Amino acid sequence: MSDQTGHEDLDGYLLGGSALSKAYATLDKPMPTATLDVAVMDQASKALRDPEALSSGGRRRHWMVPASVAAVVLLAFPVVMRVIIGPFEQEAETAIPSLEPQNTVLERAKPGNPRPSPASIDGQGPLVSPVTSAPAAPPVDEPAMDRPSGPQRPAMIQQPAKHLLETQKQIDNLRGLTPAQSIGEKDTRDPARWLDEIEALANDGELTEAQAELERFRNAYPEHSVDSELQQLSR
Amino acid sequence: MRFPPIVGERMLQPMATAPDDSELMLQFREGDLPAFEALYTRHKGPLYRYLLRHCGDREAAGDLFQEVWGKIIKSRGDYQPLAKFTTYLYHIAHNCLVDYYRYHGRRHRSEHVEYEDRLPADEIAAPREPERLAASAQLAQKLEQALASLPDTQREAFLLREEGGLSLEEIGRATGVGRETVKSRLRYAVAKLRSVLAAEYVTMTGTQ
Repeated sequence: MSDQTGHEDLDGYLLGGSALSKAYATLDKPMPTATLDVAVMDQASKALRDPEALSSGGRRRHWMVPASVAAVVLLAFPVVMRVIIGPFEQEAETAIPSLEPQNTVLERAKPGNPRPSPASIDGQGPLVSPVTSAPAAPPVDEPAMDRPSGPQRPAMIQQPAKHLLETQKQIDNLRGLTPAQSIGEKDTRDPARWLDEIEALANDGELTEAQAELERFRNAYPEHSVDSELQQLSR
Repeated sequence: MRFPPIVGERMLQPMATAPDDSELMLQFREGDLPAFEALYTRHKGPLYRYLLRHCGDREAAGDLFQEVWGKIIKSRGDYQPLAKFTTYLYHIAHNCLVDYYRYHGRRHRSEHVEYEDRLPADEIAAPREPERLAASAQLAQKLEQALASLPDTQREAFLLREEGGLSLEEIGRATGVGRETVKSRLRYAVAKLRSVLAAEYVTMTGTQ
Protein backbone atom coordinates (compact mmCIF):
# COMPACT_ATOMS: atom_id res chain seq x y z
CA MET A 1 0.00 0.00 0.00
CA SER A 2 1.48 3.34 -1.03
CA ASP A 3 1.73 6.38 1.24
CA GLN A 4 -0.85 8.18 -0.86
CA THR A 5 -3.33 5.37 -0.34
CA GLY A 6 -2.49 5.31 3.37
CA HIS A 7 -3.18 9.02 3.69
CA GLU A 8 -6.45 8.67 1.83
CA ASP A 9 -7.44 5.74 4.05
CA LEU A 10 -6.60 7.73 7.15
CA ASP A 11 -8.46 10.81 5.95
CA GLY A 12 -11.49 8.69 5.17
CA TYR A 13 -11.25 7.04 8.57
CA LEU A 14 -10.90 10.35 10.40
CA LEU A 15 -14.02 11.68 8.70
CA GLY A 16 -15.98 9.06 10.62
CA GLY A 17 -18.43 6.43 9.55
CA SER A 18 -15.78 4.30 7.87
CA ALA A 19 -16.24 0.56 7.49
CA LEU A 20 -13.56 -0.01 10.07
CA SER A 21 -15.33 2.15 12.62
CA LYS A 22 -18.60 0.36 11.86
CA ALA A 23 -16.88 -2.98 12.32
CA TYR A 24 -15.39 -1.82 15.62
CA ALA A 25 -18.81 -0.65 16.73
CA THR A 26 -20.16 -4.17 16.24
CA LEU A 27 -17.83 -5.48 18.92
CA ASP A 28 -19.30 -6.07 22.30
CA LYS A 29 -19.00 -3.28 24.83
CA PRO A 30 -17.78 -4.61 28.14
CA MET A 31 -18.53 -2.40 31.12
CA PRO A 32 -16.93 -2.21 34.56
CA THR A 33 -18.48 -4.45 37.13
CA ALA A 34 -20.90 -3.17 39.73
CA THR A 35 -18.22 -3.76 42.35
CA LEU A 36 -15.94 -1.34 40.55
CA ASP A 37 -18.72 1.23 40.32
CA VAL A 38 -19.36 1.01 44.04
CA ALA A 39 -15.66 1.21 44.84
CA VAL A 40 -15.13 4.33 42.73
CA MET A 41 -18.21 6.10 44.04
CA ASP A 42 -17.23 5.23 47.62
CA GLN A 43 -13.82 6.70 46.97
CA ALA A 44 -15.37 9.91 45.64
CA SER A 45 -17.80 10.27 48.48
CA LYS A 46 -15.10 9.59 51.06
CA ALA A 47 -12.87 12.19 49.44
CA LEU A 48 -15.61 14.78 49.69
CA ARG A 49 -16.27 13.96 53.32
CA ASP A 50 -12.60 14.17 54.21
CA PRO A 51 -11.00 17.37 52.90
CA GLU A 52 -7.59 16.04 53.92
CA ALA A 53 -7.94 13.44 51.17
CA LEU A 54 -7.18 16.13 48.63
CA SER A 55 -4.10 15.64 46.56
CA SER A 56 -0.75 16.70 47.90
CA GLY A 57 -0.75 19.38 45.23
CA GLY A 58 -3.95 20.86 46.62
CA ARG A 59 -2.56 20.94 50.12
CA ARG A 60 0.73 22.25 48.94
CA ARG A 61 -0.92 25.29 47.41
CA HIS A 62 -2.08 26.47 50.83
CA TRP A 63 1.41 27.00 52.18
CA MET A 64 3.33 27.52 48.98
CA VAL A 65 2.42 31.18 48.58
CA PRO A 66 3.24 32.27 52.15
CA ALA A 67 6.41 30.22 52.11
CA SER A 68 7.47 31.77 48.83
CA VAL A 69 6.81 35.27 50.14
CA ALA A 70 8.76 34.55 53.32
CA ALA A 71 11.67 33.17 51.33
CA VAL A 72 11.75 36.21 49.06
CA VAL A 73 11.68 38.57 52.05
CA LEU A 74 14.46 36.65 53.79
CA LEU A 75 16.63 36.67 50.70
CA ALA A 76 15.93 40.28 49.80
CA PHE A 77 16.39 41.74 53.30
CA PRO A 78 20.22 41.53 53.39
CA VAL A 79 20.44 42.95 49.91
CA VAL A 80 18.17 45.87 50.75
CA MET A 81 20.00 46.54 54.01
CA ARG A 82 23.28 46.44 52.16
CA VAL A 83 22.01 48.98 49.68
CA ILE A 84 20.61 51.28 52.37
CA ILE A 85 23.27 50.99 55.08
CA GLY A 86 26.26 50.23 52.93
CA PRO A 87 27.11 53.84 51.94
CA PHE A 88 26.93 55.08 55.59
CA GLU A 89 29.33 52.41 56.73
CA GLN A 90 31.70 53.36 53.97
CA GLU A 91 31.49 57.03 54.94
CA ALA A 92 32.19 56.23 58.59
CA GLU A 93 35.20 54.17 57.62
CA THR A 94 36.69 56.98 55.54
CA ALA A 95 36.00 59.78 57.99
CA ILE A 96 39.05 59.40 60.29
CA PRO A 97 41.71 58.66 57.66
CA SER A 98 40.59 61.72 55.75
CA LEU A 99 41.58 64.12 58.51
CA GLU A 100 45.23 64.17 57.67
CA PRO A 101 44.75 64.82 53.97
CA GLN A 102 42.25 67.50 54.90
CA ASN A 103 44.96 69.41 56.74
CA THR A 104 47.25 69.00 53.79
CA VAL A 105 44.59 70.47 51.61
CA LEU A 106 44.27 73.40 53.97
CA GLU A 107 47.97 74.13 53.81
CA ARG A 108 48.13 73.69 50.07
CA ALA A 109 45.15 75.93 49.64
CA LYS A 110 47.09 78.91 50.94
CA PRO A 111 47.84 81.51 48.31
CA GLY A 112 50.98 80.68 46.40
CA ASN A 113 50.82 76.97 46.99
CA PRO A 114 50.05 74.77 44.02
CA ARG A 115 46.53 73.48 43.78
CA PRO A 116 46.32 69.85 44.92
CA SER A 117 45.23 67.21 42.53
CA PRO A 118 41.67 66.09 43.27
CA ALA A 119 42.52 62.53 42.42
CA SER A 120 45.21 61.92 45.00
CA ILE A 121 46.85 63.89 47.76
CA ASP A 122 50.07 62.60 49.32
CA GLY A 123 49.46 59.30 47.69
CA GLN A 124 46.54 58.47 49.98
CA GLY A 125 43.89 58.17 47.35
CA PRO A 126 41.10 60.47 46.37
CA LEU A 127 39.58 62.77 48.95
CA VAL A 128 35.92 62.25 48.60
CA SER A 129 34.37 62.21 52.00
CA PRO A 130 35.60 65.46 53.60
CA VAL A 131 34.82 67.60 50.60
CA THR A 132 31.48 66.08 49.83
CA SER A 133 30.38 66.03 53.45
CA ALA A 134 30.95 69.74 53.90
CA PRO A 135 27.97 72.02 53.37
CA ALA A 136 27.95 73.36 49.87
CA ALA A 137 26.53 76.80 50.70
CA PRO A 138 28.52 79.28 52.80
CA PRO A 139 27.10 80.37 56.16
CA VAL A 140 25.09 83.52 56.17
CA ASP A 141 27.21 85.35 58.75
CA GLU A 142 30.38 84.87 56.76
CA PRO A 143 31.14 87.88 54.57
CA ALA A 144 31.34 86.82 50.99
CA MET A 145 33.81 89.58 50.15
CA ASP A 146 36.54 88.04 52.33
CA ARG A 147 36.41 84.71 50.60
CA PRO A 148 38.49 84.12 47.54
CA SER A 149 36.31 83.67 44.56
CA GLY A 150 36.72 82.14 41.14
CA PRO A 151 36.80 78.67 39.78
CA GLN A 152 40.35 78.00 41.05
CA ARG A 153 39.34 78.49 44.70
CA PRO A 154 40.12 75.27 46.66
CA ALA A 155 37.16 73.35 47.87
CA MET A 156 38.18 73.29 51.53
CA ILE A 157 38.28 77.09 51.69
CA GLN A 158 34.59 77.10 50.89
CA GLN A 159 33.91 75.39 54.20
CA PRO A 160 32.75 77.55 57.06
CA ALA A 161 35.26 78.81 59.57
CA LYS A 162 33.70 76.92 62.41
CA HIS A 163 34.08 73.68 60.58
CA LEU A 164 37.72 74.47 59.90
CA LEU A 165 38.40 75.16 63.55
CA GLU A 166 36.83 71.89 64.59
CA THR A 167 38.85 70.08 62.00
CA GLN A 168 42.00 71.74 63.20
CA LYS A 169 41.19 70.68 66.73
CA GLN A 170 40.91 67.08 65.62
CA ILE A 171 44.19 67.30 63.74
CA ASP A 172 45.93 68.82 66.75
CA ASN A 173 44.56 66.12 68.98
CA LEU A 174 45.92 63.52 66.63
CA ARG A 175 49.28 65.24 66.59
CA GLY A 176 49.39 65.59 70.36
CA LEU A 177 49.45 69.35 70.38
CA THR A 178 47.99 71.35 73.22
CA PRO A 179 45.02 73.56 72.54
CA ALA A 180 47.19 76.60 73.13
CA GLN A 181 49.36 75.64 70.23
CA SER A 182 46.49 75.43 67.86
CA ILE A 183 45.96 78.09 65.24
CA GLY A 184 43.23 80.58 65.96
CA GLU A 185 42.74 79.58 69.56
CA LYS A 186 43.16 82.21 72.18
CA ASP A 187 45.85 81.02 74.57
CA THR A 188 45.26 81.31 78.27
CA ARG A 189 48.82 80.79 79.32
CA ASP A 190 50.54 83.32 81.47
CA PRO A 191 51.90 86.05 79.15
CA ALA A 192 55.18 86.46 80.98
CA ARG A 193 55.86 82.76 81.08
CA TRP A 194 54.90 82.39 77.42
CA LEU A 195 57.34 85.16 76.48
CA ASP A 196 60.04 83.37 78.47
CA GLU A 197 59.38 80.22 76.48
CA ILE A 198 59.60 82.17 73.23
CA GLU A 199 62.84 83.71 74.34
CA ALA A 200 64.19 80.30 75.26
CA LEU A 201 63.29 78.99 71.80
CA ALA A 202 65.08 81.92 70.19
CA ASN A 203 68.12 81.37 72.34
CA ASP A 204 68.17 77.71 71.36
CA GLY A 205 68.33 78.77 67.71
CA GLU A 206 64.80 77.57 66.81
CA LEU A 207 63.90 80.84 65.28
CA THR A 208 61.06 79.55 63.12
CA GLU A 209 59.22 78.08 66.04
CA ALA A 210 59.92 81.14 68.12
CA GLN A 211 58.43 83.32 65.40
CA ALA A 212 55.34 81.13 65.21
CA GLU A 213 54.91 81.22 68.95
CA LEU A 214 55.35 84.97 68.99
CA GLU A 215 52.68 85.24 66.32
CA ARG A 216 50.35 83.18 68.46
CA PHE A 217 51.19 85.27 71.46
CA ARG A 218 50.30 88.44 69.63
CA ASN A 219 47.05 86.93 68.53
CA ALA A 220 46.28 85.98 72.10
CA TYR A 221 47.50 89.17 73.74
CA PRO A 222 47.52 91.89 71.09
CA GLU A 223 47.98 94.71 73.61
CA HIS A 224 50.73 93.08 75.64
CA SER A 225 54.11 94.67 75.29
CA VAL A 226 56.93 92.59 73.89
CA ASP A 227 60.63 93.10 74.45
CA SER A 228 62.58 94.71 71.69
CA GLU A 229 64.71 91.61 71.29
CA LEU A 230 61.68 89.47 70.70
CA GLN A 231 60.18 92.03 68.40
CA GLN A 232 63.15 91.53 66.13
CA LEU A 233 62.01 87.95 65.57
CA SER A 234 58.98 89.06 63.68
CA ARG A 235 60.95 91.22 61.28
CA MET B 1 -60.11 35.98 21.35
CA ARG B 2 -58.97 32.92 23.22
CA PHE B 3 -55.42 32.03 23.56
CA PRO B 4 -54.43 28.44 23.75
CA PRO B 5 -53.69 27.39 27.29
CA ILE B 6 -50.10 27.50 28.28
CA VAL B 7 -49.18 23.91 28.68
CA GLY B 8 -46.01 24.75 30.49
CA GLU B 9 -43.55 27.60 30.28
CA ARG B 10 -40.75 25.20 30.57
CA MET B 11 -41.70 23.68 27.25
CA LEU B 12 -41.24 27.03 25.52
CA GLN B 13 -37.78 27.54 26.95
CA PRO B 14 -34.83 26.04 25.13
CA MET B 15 -33.96 22.63 26.34
CA ALA B 16 -31.28 22.65 28.98
CA THR B 17 -28.11 21.19 27.58
CA ALA B 18 -26.26 18.57 29.51
CA PRO B 19 -23.46 20.06 31.57
CA ASP B 20 -20.03 19.95 30.05
CA ASP B 21 -17.49 17.49 31.41
CA SER B 22 -15.28 20.28 32.69
CA GLU B 23 -18.27 21.90 34.34
CA LEU B 24 -19.11 18.64 36.09
CA MET B 25 -15.54 18.28 37.23
CA LEU B 26 -15.50 21.81 38.62
CA GLN B 27 -18.75 21.11 40.43
CA PHE B 28 -17.26 17.96 41.87
CA ARG B 29 -14.23 19.96 42.98
CA GLU B 30 -16.64 22.16 44.91
CA GLY B 31 -18.09 19.10 46.63
CA ASP B 32 -20.90 18.04 44.32
CA LEU B 33 -21.01 14.24 44.37
CA PRO B 34 -23.88 13.88 41.85
CA ALA B 35 -21.75 15.83 39.36
CA PHE B 36 -19.04 13.23 39.72
CA GLU B 37 -21.56 10.46 39.34
CA ALA B 38 -22.74 11.96 36.05
CA LEU B 39 -19.16 12.30 34.88
CA TYR B 40 -18.35 8.75 35.89
CA THR B 41 -21.42 7.33 34.21
CA ARG B 42 -20.56 9.18 31.01
CA HIS B 43 -16.99 7.93 30.74
CA LYS B 44 -16.76 4.68 32.63
CA GLY B 45 -17.56 2.43 29.63
CA PRO B 46 -15.14 3.90 27.08
CA LEU B 47 -12.39 4.17 29.67
CA TYR B 48 -12.84 0.61 30.80
CA ARG B 49 -12.78 -0.70 27.22
CA TYR B 50 -9.72 1.36 26.42
CA LEU B 51 -7.90 -0.15 29.38
CA LEU B 52 -9.19 -3.66 28.78
CA ARG B 53 -8.33 -3.73 25.08
CA HIS B 54 -4.99 -2.10 25.74
CA CYS B 55 -3.70 -4.47 28.40
CA GLY B 56 -5.88 -7.45 27.50
CA ASP B 57 -6.38 -8.52 31.10
CA ARG B 58 -9.71 -8.09 32.80
CA GLU B 59 -8.35 -8.07 36.33
CA ALA B 60 -5.56 -5.62 35.45
CA ALA B 61 -8.06 -3.45 33.60
CA GLY B 62 -10.24 -3.31 36.72
CA ASP B 63 -7.30 -2.29 38.88
CA LEU B 64 -6.19 0.32 36.39
CA PHE B 65 -9.73 1.61 36.05
CA GLN B 66 -9.96 2.15 39.80
CA GLU B 67 -6.53 3.73 39.88
CA VAL B 68 -7.39 6.23 37.15
CA TRP B 69 -10.57 7.37 38.85
CA GLY B 70 -8.76 7.49 42.16
CA LYS B 71 -6.27 9.92 40.66
CA ILE B 72 -9.07 11.99 39.18
CA ILE B 73 -10.71 12.20 42.59
CA LYS B 74 -7.52 13.01 44.46
CA SER B 75 -6.34 15.63 42.02
CA ARG B 76 -9.67 17.44 41.77
CA GLY B 77 -8.20 20.37 43.70
CA ASP B 78 -5.61 20.92 40.98
CA TYR B 79 -7.98 20.49 38.06
CA GLN B 80 -8.03 23.38 35.61
CA PRO B 81 -10.28 23.21 32.55
CA LEU B 82 -7.47 24.03 30.15
CA ALA B 83 -8.29 21.17 27.78
CA LYS B 84 -11.08 18.71 27.17
CA PHE B 85 -11.82 16.52 30.15
CA THR B 86 -11.41 13.41 28.00
CA THR B 87 -7.87 14.45 27.13
CA TYR B 88 -7.16 14.87 30.84
CA LEU B 89 -8.82 11.54 31.65
CA TYR B 90 -6.99 9.53 28.99
CA HIS B 91 -3.72 11.23 29.77
CA ILE B 92 -3.98 9.88 33.31
CA ALA B 93 -5.03 6.50 31.95
CA HIS B 94 -2.06 6.46 29.59
CA ASN B 95 0.30 7.22 32.47
CA CYS B 96 -1.24 4.46 34.57
CA LEU B 97 -0.75 2.02 31.69
CA VAL B 98 2.86 3.08 31.26
CA ASP B 99 3.46 2.46 34.97
CA TYR B 100 1.65 -0.84 34.73
CA TYR B 101 3.77 -2.04 31.80
CA ARG B 102 6.93 -0.82 33.49
CA TYR B 103 6.11 -2.85 36.60
CA HIS B 104 4.60 -5.96 35.03
CA GLY B 105 6.30 -6.00 31.67
CA ARG B 106 4.61 -6.38 28.32
CA ARG B 107 2.24 -9.29 28.19
CA HIS B 108 1.99 -11.52 25.19
CA ARG B 109 -0.70 -9.89 23.11
CA SER B 110 -1.70 -13.06 21.23
CA GLU B 111 -3.94 -14.13 24.08
CA HIS B 112 -7.02 -12.01 23.62
CA VAL B 113 -9.79 -11.50 26.04
CA GLU B 114 -12.57 -14.03 26.04
CA TYR B 115 -15.73 -12.02 26.23
CA GLU B 116 -18.93 -13.48 27.42
CA ASP B 117 -20.83 -12.35 24.38
CA ARG B 118 -19.08 -11.47 21.16
CA LEU B 119 -22.10 -10.30 19.26
CA PRO B 120 -23.77 -6.92 19.36
CA ALA B 121 -26.81 -6.75 21.55
CA ASP B 122 -29.18 -5.92 18.71
CA GLU B 123 -28.15 -8.99 16.80
CA ILE B 124 -28.71 -11.13 19.86
CA ALA B 125 -32.14 -9.66 20.32
CA ALA B 126 -33.11 -10.05 16.66
CA PRO B 127 -30.92 -12.69 15.05
CA ARG B 128 -30.79 -12.55 11.30
CA GLU B 129 -30.03 -15.36 8.97
CA PRO B 130 -27.43 -17.81 10.28
CA GLU B 131 -24.86 -17.02 7.57
CA ARG B 132 -24.73 -13.34 8.33
CA LEU B 133 -24.72 -14.03 12.04
CA ALA B 134 -21.77 -16.32 11.67
CA ALA B 135 -20.02 -13.83 9.41
CA SER B 136 -20.57 -11.09 11.96
CA ALA B 137 -19.22 -13.24 14.78
CA GLN B 138 -16.25 -14.13 12.64
CA LEU B 139 -15.71 -10.48 11.82
CA ALA B 140 -15.69 -9.54 15.49
CA GLN B 141 -13.25 -12.28 16.30
CA LYS B 142 -10.95 -11.29 13.44
CA LEU B 143 -11.08 -7.67 14.48
CA GLU B 144 -10.31 -8.53 18.10
CA GLN B 145 -7.32 -10.56 17.01
CA ALA B 146 -6.09 -7.91 14.59
CA LEU B 147 -6.42 -5.24 17.25
CA ALA B 148 -4.53 -7.36 19.77
CA SER B 149 -1.73 -7.96 17.28
CA LEU B 150 -1.07 -4.27 16.74
CA PRO B 151 1.93 -2.63 18.41
CA ASP B 152 1.00 -0.94 21.69
CA THR B 153 1.40 2.60 20.39
CA GLN B 154 -0.74 1.97 17.29
CA ARG B 155 -3.39 0.13 19.27
CA GLU B 156 -3.47 2.93 21.81
CA ALA B 157 -3.93 5.58 19.11
CA PHE B 158 -6.75 3.58 17.53
CA LEU B 159 -8.49 2.97 20.87
CA LEU B 160 -8.21 6.61 21.91
CA ARG B 161 -9.81 7.56 18.62
CA GLU B 162 -12.58 4.98 18.79
CA GLU B 163 -13.35 4.87 22.51
CA GLY B 164 -12.30 8.35 23.61
CA GLY B 165 -13.31 10.15 20.43
CA LEU B 166 -10.12 12.18 20.60
CA SER B 167 -8.71 14.14 17.70
CA LEU B 168 -5.14 13.73 16.50
CA GLU B 169 -3.99 16.67 18.63
CA GLU B 170 -5.80 15.38 21.69
CA ILE B 171 -4.32 11.91 21.27
CA GLY B 172 -0.93 13.57 21.05
CA ARG B 173 -1.54 15.50 24.25
CA ALA B 174 -2.82 12.42 26.06
CA THR B 175 0.14 10.27 25.05
CA GLY B 176 2.80 12.96 25.05
CA VAL B 177 3.75 12.84 21.36
CA GLY B 178 3.33 15.14 18.41
CA ARG B 179 0.48 15.28 15.95
CA GLU B 180 2.48 13.80 13.10
CA THR B 181 3.53 10.87 15.24
CA VAL B 182 -0.08 10.19 16.12
CA LYS B 183 -1.04 10.45 12.47
CA SER B 184 1.62 7.96 11.50
CA ARG B 185 0.62 5.50 14.22
CA LEU B 186 -3.02 5.77 13.33
CA ARG B 187 -2.34 5.37 9.63
CA TYR B 188 -0.42 2.15 10.21
CA ALA B 189 -3.09 0.86 12.58
CA VAL B 190 -5.89 1.55 10.14
CA ALA B 191 -3.96 0.00 7.26
CA LYS B 192 -3.17 -3.17 9.20
CA LEU B 193 -6.69 -3.60 10.49
CA ARG B 194 -8.09 -3.11 7.02
CA SER B 195 -5.69 -5.55 5.43
CA VAL B 196 -6.44 -8.19 8.05
CA LEU B 197 -10.15 -7.73 7.70
CA ALA B 198 -10.16 -7.39 3.90
CA ALA B 199 -12.08 -10.56 3.32
CA GLU B 200 -14.61 -9.68 6.00
CA TYR B 201 -15.04 -6.22 4.47
CA VAL B 202 -16.06 -7.78 1.21
CA THR B 203 -18.65 -9.85 3.02
CA MET B 204 -19.79 -6.92 5.14
CA THR B 205 -20.10 -4.33 2.39
CA GLY B 206 -21.05 -6.75 -0.36
CA THR B 207 -18.47 -5.33 -2.76
CA GLN B 208 -15.59 -6.99 -4.48
